[in-house]
Amino acid sequence: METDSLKNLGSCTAQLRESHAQCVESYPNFDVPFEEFRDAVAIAAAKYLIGLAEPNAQPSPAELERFIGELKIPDLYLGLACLRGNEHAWWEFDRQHRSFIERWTRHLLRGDADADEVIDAVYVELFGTRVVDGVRQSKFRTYTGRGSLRGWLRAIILHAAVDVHRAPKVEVSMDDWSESGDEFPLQHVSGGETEDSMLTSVVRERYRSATVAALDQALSTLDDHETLLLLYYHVEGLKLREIARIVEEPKSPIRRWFQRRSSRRSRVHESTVMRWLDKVYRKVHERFHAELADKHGLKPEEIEICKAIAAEDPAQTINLPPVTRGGLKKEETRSEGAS
Amino acid sequence: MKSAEQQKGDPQVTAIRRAIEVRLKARMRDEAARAVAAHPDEDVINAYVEGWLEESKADSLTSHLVSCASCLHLTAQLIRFDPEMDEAAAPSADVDEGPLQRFFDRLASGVLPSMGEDAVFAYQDNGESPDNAEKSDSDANPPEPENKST
Repeated sequence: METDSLKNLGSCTAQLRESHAQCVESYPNFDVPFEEFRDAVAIAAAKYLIGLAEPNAQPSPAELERFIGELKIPDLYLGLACLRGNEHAWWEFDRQHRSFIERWTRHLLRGDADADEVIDAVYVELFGTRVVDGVRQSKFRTYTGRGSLRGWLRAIILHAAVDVHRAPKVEVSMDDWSESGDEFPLQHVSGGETEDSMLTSVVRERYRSATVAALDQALSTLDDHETLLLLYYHVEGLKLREIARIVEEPKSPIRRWFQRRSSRRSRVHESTVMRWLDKVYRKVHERFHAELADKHGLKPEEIEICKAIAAEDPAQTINLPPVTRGGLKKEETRSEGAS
Repeated sequence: MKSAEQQKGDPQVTAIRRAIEVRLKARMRDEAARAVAAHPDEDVINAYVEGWLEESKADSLTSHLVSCASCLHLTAQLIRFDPEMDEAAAPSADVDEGPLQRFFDRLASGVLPSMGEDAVFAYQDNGESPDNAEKSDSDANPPEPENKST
């Protein structure tokens, strides 16, 4: 029995019985026994509450009571009934969510003919066509009621759409530079492999390595939340107002972090996010610069080259000045695009 | 890619923001190619986006997101979701969520007595309710995040 793993769940029996009774009253045809309902709550509590303070730490009765109060009980009850294959529950699920599933899938796929395939895949997953040890493997088994059923469905649909399309999730030009020297545009030396060009390649590689290491080091000093917001903005392309919205959301973990760093609790909008981003850029810039100067021992003119390399448009290449065996000629170190 | 180019200003900042974007994209491409042992399921991802995870669990997931391209993408898609579409797809208001949801809504809003005297609901945490958030909207000055390094 799932309740065995939670020592204090017994103290919440009355709360659970009242919740279950309300569900039964509203949906008398769903036929979800109390024991099953209680076990589902126990699974949810074990998943989200055990080990919060320290490994395997049990939630207190008060924590359990609050947790149960936060659960989306009607959604959970509907999910449990669908999991049992109750026909009335499936009818209700269709009534509440079918149009949303269809609408959002078509929106996601933008009229793609595969939308019907994705919708079918979602229903197949929800119903569960595989049977393991006599138990139907319905996706509803993973729904705990911690978040809304609608939000959970959104995530299920997104996964199904990805599975059907198998499109690359991060669209980065193959010309973009990376840690792999082979993919770095500046490595491609045109013309014959003269001694000078080979030497230039060696110098470029030195700058490239220093640039990547210094930028990674500068980024590593950011808090995970800061990095996450940068990723949302620069990699995922979220708009400033979308980022402002998640910072505004009262229960958002990002809002909690944001407010810990702010003495004021006022509204967050696009300009707030923009100012915050600007501060992060300056912080990364300072550390990037310091790393190149202090750790890699680069001179100011060499740092400028590294900055140009770091910000280089993959479609263009930076023309490095001719090099001598002693290194770059000081008067020729200004590269295109460096600021 | 978007407003980045529109924000002309300090050339140093413009250069570093471009550098950050290029570098982060390259890193996430590398992360995408790398097999991640375990991803959080949809239930956890949705609870995170909706703000229902306990702080320590949320922080742990944040750490996962900055190194997992697929989960980052999933959460971004959920954040990008237009709530109006949700409302447009909802059943008509008179049969919307049924009496059971209304009961729990009233319970959560304090109209009905709670099952226990000490019951606390999510929206009451830290005294932070949507209503309170609305009140704070009147504050004309947006917050300035502190630079933790300074």
